[in-house]
Amino acid sequence: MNAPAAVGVIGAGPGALQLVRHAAPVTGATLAAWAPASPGDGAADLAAAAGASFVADWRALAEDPALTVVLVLADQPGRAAPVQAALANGKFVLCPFPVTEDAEVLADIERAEAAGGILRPSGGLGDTQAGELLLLAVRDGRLGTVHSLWACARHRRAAGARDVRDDLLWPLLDIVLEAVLSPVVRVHATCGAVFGNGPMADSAVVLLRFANGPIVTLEASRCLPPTLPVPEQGELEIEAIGSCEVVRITPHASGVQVLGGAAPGKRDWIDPPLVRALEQMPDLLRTRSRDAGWAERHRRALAIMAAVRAGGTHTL
Amino acid sequence: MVRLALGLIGCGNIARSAHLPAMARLADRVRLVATADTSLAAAEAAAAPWGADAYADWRRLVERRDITAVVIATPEFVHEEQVVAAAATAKHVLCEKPMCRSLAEADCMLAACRRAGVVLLIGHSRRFTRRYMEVRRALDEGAIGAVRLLRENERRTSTHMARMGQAGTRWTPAHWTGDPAVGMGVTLSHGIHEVDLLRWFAGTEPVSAYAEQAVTAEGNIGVPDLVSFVLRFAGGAIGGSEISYHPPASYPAYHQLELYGTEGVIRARDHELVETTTYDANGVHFPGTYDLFLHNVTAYTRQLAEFVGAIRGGRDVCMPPTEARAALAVTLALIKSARTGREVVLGNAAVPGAVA
Repeated sequence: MNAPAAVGVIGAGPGALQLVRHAAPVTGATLAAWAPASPGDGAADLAAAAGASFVADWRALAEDPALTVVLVLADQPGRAAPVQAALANGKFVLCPFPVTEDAEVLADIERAEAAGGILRPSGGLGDTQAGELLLLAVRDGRLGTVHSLWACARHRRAAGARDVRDDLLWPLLDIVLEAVLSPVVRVHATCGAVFGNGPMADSAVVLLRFANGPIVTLEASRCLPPTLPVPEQGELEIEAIGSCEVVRITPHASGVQVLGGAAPGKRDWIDPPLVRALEQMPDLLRTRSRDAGWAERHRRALAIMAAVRAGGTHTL
Repeated sequence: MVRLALGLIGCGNIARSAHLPAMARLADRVRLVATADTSLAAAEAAAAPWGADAYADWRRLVERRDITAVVIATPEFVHEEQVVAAAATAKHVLCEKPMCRSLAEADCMLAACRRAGVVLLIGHSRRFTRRYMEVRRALDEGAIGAVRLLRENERRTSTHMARMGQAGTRWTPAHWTGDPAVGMGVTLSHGIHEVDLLRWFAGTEPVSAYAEQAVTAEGNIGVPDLVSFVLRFAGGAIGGSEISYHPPASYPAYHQLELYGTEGVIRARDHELVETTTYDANGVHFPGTYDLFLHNVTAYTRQLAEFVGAIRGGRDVCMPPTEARAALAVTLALIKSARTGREVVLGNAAVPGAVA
């Protein structure tokens, strides 16, 4: 049996609370140390709650030889520097998508990885059971020709919340780009401070036209009133319609429905993705398994998100 | 009460599945006097239960003086000619959606009916479904405040189309919808339903329109049968819709409406959730279970009753034909957008919620 991987965490951004709540039963990894990505970001409290030692300087954590895995949970744009430092020390690095929004920094990170470490963008939808099911179904051709994919993330409204183009859209884009490999040729984005939570865009509808591929519709919004019961990760809904099968992930039935095949089934989807990523750590460390496509996926995402931020229609 | 004498032009699928059953339910108020279809056999089959006359040429039906009103259930590319001809003989008109294929045609239809002083009701039947009537009522009562984000998706499958008598033919050259010479695709034929509902529920007009279309159905030679579109409304609200005809046969046909307001949410689905759920400041409400499919006889019966009531009462119909023209204008903008790959600006209204 593989020993649990010793994990050091940097930052207190998205996913950190989820990690503290759900990491205890994880057998594949131990949260050993936690460092702030920036002073006063709450990492000390999280370290105490997780039973990890607190390290005041993330650079020291990145160099700690007792840690084999470094999980970077800093808010953007604070992820790239700790990722590069951890890679330079040969760590197996987990970091939410996107690791950076700067193309030059992305190239630097690729070079750092080539020098010895391994980077796996983690904690996204692809790490959930539902996302895994979707990706498997698309990749093994079971869906047949995929003509359309609609992916939607809805969260509670909150004063001062982040712009959805800075957080909610990225995981949707990540899993779409994992599923659909052909190039995006056209992007149209309609974004707005629709609910008036603040000056930032709280809603976005993005249409992606893939070359010889599906029409993809992404919808991200902080539109749910506080009284509405909402799953921890918000409401996620994905419907990938193929000529042979459909994968439909919906919070409204609390399950994944695969319809159109010989054996329709239903599985729970609400599983904390970071925790699932950690569960896999012993195997990943043993095999030194790389995510060969992460850099290319990032490059595609950066081009798309630049168009989304500009608004309107863009040919790529 | 003397029953209203009706003529039916077009005896295909929509007539068989919706208009004729609606007439049968309102047999105390209407009687079918004559039918017409390019297929005389279809016209005769529709006419038989009523003992009505049947024609292969619709003009012969329109010429009859004993008919007060006509129901036009033909493809949109003949609507203008038929509506104008019916109005010219002082017949009231209930015409299937989409109204027609261009705003110029729509204006001719409107002008002809206005001149003749006849009622014109365009059959946007979804406004007559109990589900969407309840949604509109909830909005009018302020249950969710101002509507800011709207989603209306629609899925139809080959199984669903087979139930409607179009197994394997729709979107192929074997059916007019698949003939590029006359069919303009799913955005006009079905997207106009979604556009109409989005406008109705948003309560404001779209100021911009963008769409992506695709050809997906087996045997389709070039008429778009898949569309995803987004509308920006005056005031900043955003509405979107995706209509697909290509799910596998066993996938459920459904409609999914979601309205996110400043004070709550309304969701109405045919899929897992048949009921309409309203979330407001006082909690979660399940007002009732509504019709499973929006394409249902009950809605068409209400629509016909509204038409007959307006004629009898000498009043306007609840959905003026200018509403249908407005839906057409937006739908045509979506088609133009899809063809050019560019957003189409519909007006100069301010969009205070927009950000770059």
